[in-house]
Amino acid sequence: MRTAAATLAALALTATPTVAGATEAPPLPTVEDVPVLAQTWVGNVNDDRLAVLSVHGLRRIDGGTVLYYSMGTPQDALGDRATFSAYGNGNTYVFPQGTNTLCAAAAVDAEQGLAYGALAASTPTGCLSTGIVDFATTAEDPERAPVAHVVLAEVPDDVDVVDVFVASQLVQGVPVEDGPLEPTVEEAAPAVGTGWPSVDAAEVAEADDSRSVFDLQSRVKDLSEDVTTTQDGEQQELDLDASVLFATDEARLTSRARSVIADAAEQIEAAGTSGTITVTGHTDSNASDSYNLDLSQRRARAVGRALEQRLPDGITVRTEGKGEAEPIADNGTAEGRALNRRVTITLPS
Amino acid sequence: MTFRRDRVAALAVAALTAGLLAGCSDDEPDATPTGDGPSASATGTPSPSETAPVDRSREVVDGAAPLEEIGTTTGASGSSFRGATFTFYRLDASPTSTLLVWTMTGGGGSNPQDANYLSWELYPRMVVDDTEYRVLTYSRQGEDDTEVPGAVSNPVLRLTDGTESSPQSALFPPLPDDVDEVELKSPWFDNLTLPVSRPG
Repeated sequence: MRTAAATLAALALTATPTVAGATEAPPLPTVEDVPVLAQTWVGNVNDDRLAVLSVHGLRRIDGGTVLYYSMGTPQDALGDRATFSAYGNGNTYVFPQGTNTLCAAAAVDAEQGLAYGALAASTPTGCLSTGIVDFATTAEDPERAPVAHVVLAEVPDDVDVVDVFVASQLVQGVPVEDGPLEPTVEEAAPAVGTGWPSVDAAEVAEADDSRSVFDLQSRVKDLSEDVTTTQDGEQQELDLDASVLFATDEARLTSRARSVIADAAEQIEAAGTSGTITVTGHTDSNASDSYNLDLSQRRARAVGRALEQRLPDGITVRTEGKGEAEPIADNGTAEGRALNRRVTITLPS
Repeated sequence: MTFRRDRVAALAVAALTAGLLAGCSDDEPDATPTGDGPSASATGTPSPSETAPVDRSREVVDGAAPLEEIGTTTGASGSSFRGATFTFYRLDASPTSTLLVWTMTGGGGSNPQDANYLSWELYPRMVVDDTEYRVLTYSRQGEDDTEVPGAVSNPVLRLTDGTESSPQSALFPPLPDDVDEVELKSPWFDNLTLPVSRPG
């Protein structure tokens, strides 16, 4: 059996030499009667071989969105049976639903800041998906690439293209279309090209979508001013680095802070903001809860006062402190603590 | 709030559990009969009555484009990846997101502890001039029902000396249209510059 490393090495050897500034992503195969919308290579926790994952459809149905995909072993790595439900690094953690890798999937709409994960259901996988034992090849038929499906939360009608997370891998630019793929077959995981798995409308209607939609956060930092613009779902925030605004344990603004706050004020005005903005102080988890809460409140007030002086009429400023209660990163790392020490300016939605 | 540090171990245990489940489930396939769909079908897909189904497995799988190396760097001395080699295969920018794909080859006892998806702050950052792009995160329920972010990426479960890992991927915000290379910075590895590809 070829290992993942051997496969990658062989692939690299056969590849065209990389040219800096390359402008096109790799092409997709054109296959009669089979839409191939995206492809990627996927690893397995129990098997050193890589599999090819192909996305064939992301289709709206009543109450959900069906993701159709197949997995297969490349010709030069065929061998023993492959259990594709174990592919994806054993991930059940990113966009989780249930307890199986087959349910850790999502349609990622980075533009709108939302991800549509699997619907929860009382099934062996914990979601509406291909069964664990079905998504495999046998030693007698190792060349087969079975098709699997998982039912995700409803992707809104006005979303045309999304990225997809499945089997721990990400692919971009998958169109969202209407209606299930046809023809359907009774087989749970048919070989690709022989029909598509059917989806039980009654099961979709009974599924639980209450924990299926995830907010995404997109962070872009202006390094010259130490201001990070965060898009959190539909909410836009400006995160100011408290280490730049204040000395340690202090709530008096540094000389550098004036420039940072002035830049933030320009961004707020440029965004056409009106109404009330909220300035919130946050700390890392060092020191006590009460100390951090007080420090965060004093820091928020200091930034709020300075900001208010630079904003036009029609924008009012409210301040509050959260202490260490709302971390955005891991307080167990120095980098995470630094990110948690911040003053956030939340713009009206 | 302090995050627990035993997450890598927990991931490994859960992965093993998933593998065991795969071997003992009595999950039955859905036998819903074929019916007419409510609207569109796959373009050009014939009905079973028109033509015999054809297994297209080989065309789909063997038609996949190989992973092409676009850059390598070494693990940072201060990280759990000291001694490892990072190889990058994709940096694809679309109008709405940017995709990074890489592998790690273990060396010198390196381990993947610093690549936990919950520690998104340690993930690579894309730097273009004076602008830095962080990995996308998603909100998940943490301890005490608080919401904490996790990287839109996949967890790394193992790293073996001399062995290249399976591909990892992570999603970032979109890059400006005129950007054709980015500097990649991370506590995991030494900085490097990568070319940007764009879907045709």
